[in-house]
Amino acid sequence: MKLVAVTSCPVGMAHTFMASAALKEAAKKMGIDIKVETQGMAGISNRITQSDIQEADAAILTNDVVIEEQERFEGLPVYTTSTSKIIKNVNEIIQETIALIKKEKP
Amino acid sequence: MNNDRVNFNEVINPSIIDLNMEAKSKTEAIGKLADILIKEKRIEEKEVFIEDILEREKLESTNMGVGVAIPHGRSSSVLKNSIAIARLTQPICWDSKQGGKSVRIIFLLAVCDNVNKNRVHLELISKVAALLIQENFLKTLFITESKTELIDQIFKLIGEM
Repeated sequence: MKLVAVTSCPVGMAHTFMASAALKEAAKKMGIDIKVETQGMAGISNRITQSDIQEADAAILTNDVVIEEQERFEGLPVYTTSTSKIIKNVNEIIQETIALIKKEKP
Repeated sequence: MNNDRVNFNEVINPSIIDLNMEAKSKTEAIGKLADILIKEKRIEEKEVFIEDILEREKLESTNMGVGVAIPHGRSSSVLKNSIAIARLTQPICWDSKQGGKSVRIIFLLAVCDNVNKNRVHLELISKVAALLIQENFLKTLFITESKTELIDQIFKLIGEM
């Protein structure tokens, strides 16, 4: 199982990085491979590439602000949520994303 | 590309941690943390520093929703990159927009306004964020009476990142 995620928030500091940290930590505990791109104040870091997307089973994208290059994720099951929801309920969000994969690829 | 990592030994130390702070509002708590940073000669011009922090809070509340807020300021008034930590004796309302969710712990990040500011700011924020999502660390943060224990845990966890 591999997930990709993009986190971003209006200012591009606190919530972007906290959500990214939460996703990485929770995925590690669940034994899931995840790559998180942050679109923050200092631009895009840890960019998700085409090959990451090809290997991925689903994407988690935040909707606090419009994320850049969202079209990259067309064709993947996408779970959309907010950075604050990720910070509060990261385990549920990953589980719901897994459920989404199973629904789209039974 | 400059890969110099932030030296956390220089950024956090016991003299800028208060585990029993009395404050009734966000402004009072930030003011008291600024006083500590002034006393330790890590910032100057308290008013400029506070104004920068409160301006940033208006753009995006730094209440992380786990009882912790991470206000941050980057201004010419910062002399030394610092993370000041306060634990309040009583939780306070941080941001009425967030339904008044209460905050008891404050990590105040002060970043020097120099050529490395973006990189330093991002490294501090992302490391602090990564600390705050660890349940064991949060437990220590809310109950410990020992600044040494807290700092040891911070350095250990950051060392593993």
